[in-house]
Amino acid sequence: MLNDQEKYRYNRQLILDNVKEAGQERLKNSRVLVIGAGGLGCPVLLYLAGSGIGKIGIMDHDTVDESNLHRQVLYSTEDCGKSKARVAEKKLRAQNPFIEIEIYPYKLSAANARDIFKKYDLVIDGTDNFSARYIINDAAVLENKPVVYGALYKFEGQVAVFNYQNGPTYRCLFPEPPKQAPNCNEAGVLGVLPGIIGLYMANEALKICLGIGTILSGKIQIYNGLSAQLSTVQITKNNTLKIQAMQTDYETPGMSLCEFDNLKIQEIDSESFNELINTEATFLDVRETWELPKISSRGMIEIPLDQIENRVTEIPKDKQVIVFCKSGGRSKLAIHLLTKHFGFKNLYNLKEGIKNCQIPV
Amino acid sequence: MNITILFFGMLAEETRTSVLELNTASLKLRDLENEVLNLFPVLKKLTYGIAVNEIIVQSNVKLSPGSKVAFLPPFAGG
Repeated sequence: MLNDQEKYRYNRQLILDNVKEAGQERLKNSRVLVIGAGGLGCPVLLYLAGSGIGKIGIMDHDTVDESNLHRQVLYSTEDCGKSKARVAEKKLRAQNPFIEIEIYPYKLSAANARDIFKKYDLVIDGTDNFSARYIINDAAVLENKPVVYGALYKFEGQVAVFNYQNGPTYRCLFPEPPKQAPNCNEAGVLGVLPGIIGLYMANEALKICLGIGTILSGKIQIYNGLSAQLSTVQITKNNTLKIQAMQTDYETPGMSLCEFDNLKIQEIDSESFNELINTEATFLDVRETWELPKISSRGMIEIPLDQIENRVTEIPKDKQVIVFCKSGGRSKLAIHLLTKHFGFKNLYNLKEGIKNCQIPV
Repeated sequence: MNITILFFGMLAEETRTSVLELNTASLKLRDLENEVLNLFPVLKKLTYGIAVNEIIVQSNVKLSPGSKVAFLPPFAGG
């Protein structure tokens, strides 16, 4: 039951004909899990909390970085370095004290997904890598939960509702993770795009909880922010796909900022890096050529990540090579690629990249 | 016959094309797909789904004049 203060708080949506008090109570009784509290997750969370979804789960293992702030609207400068899930929880509690929030400040995995999904009616996929997206798809199918999906690439966004009332799933659209070689140059995104796509997602989530309108199931919408075009494509259910259990391995070569938990990558820290930079040691800079700061050292090789395969002969195999990028994601990918496909054994990753290093200019 | 080819996301970037009017002898989707792959070999190493007239198809459907064939990439940013 809603108390008087709640009735007043939600008045503007409660007076809608197809919401009313009964609809608001449905929202209060709904349990929604938001995975990824980043560009997509932030707007979704703000509006679901504002609308009075009774229980919201927030799952994110990451911490706030200053480069998140132009689009991840839940966070402030002072939050940098703190757990996204914890900061989000605090902000949403202040925004709406009438809702329950549970946080999962750790990584989604094939092992933990199903148990967490069981506690919710609806799952929101606001993650940033294919591995998580396929884990979410499979766990949602096995637990029979609908998924509101959103994904971004530069100026383009995709939105869909999967596995809704036994409808098509993400695998009906893309049966397997992509085959493309790692391309982890963080793609770049205008701050508003995740806001736009996130609100499409929140709208679908609210309709599902309220049981009103037409759900974006069996379709994917593609919005292009540059051309302002919205395209809709129909997806039919592929009945030959049968998901019986979670896979043991969801690692994909095309993940965005992938973490290779089962490949042991040798790492060095920023302190050792600073000591080595003035020596004869060999370095491999996998950042784009325009990225700053420029780092000069006698043994510097500069090959952007997407050119590694074509220029592999420039990298020595007979001595230690320290591989680095801005924050350690792309360099890990480069090491993964070189180790797995070209037999390198002499590579060291600069942990968390050069952003933590004191670079002599 | 004339077919409209559409590329989305990084496929538009890699082919440097978002819309293309193609005059083709291909009557079926697989033949057209091969023609497109020959025009843009870069697509061979990329993953995509194909929609014909705004419906995702897996099978080798028949094409008709004016059909719209869209190549959609998976992407994962969030």
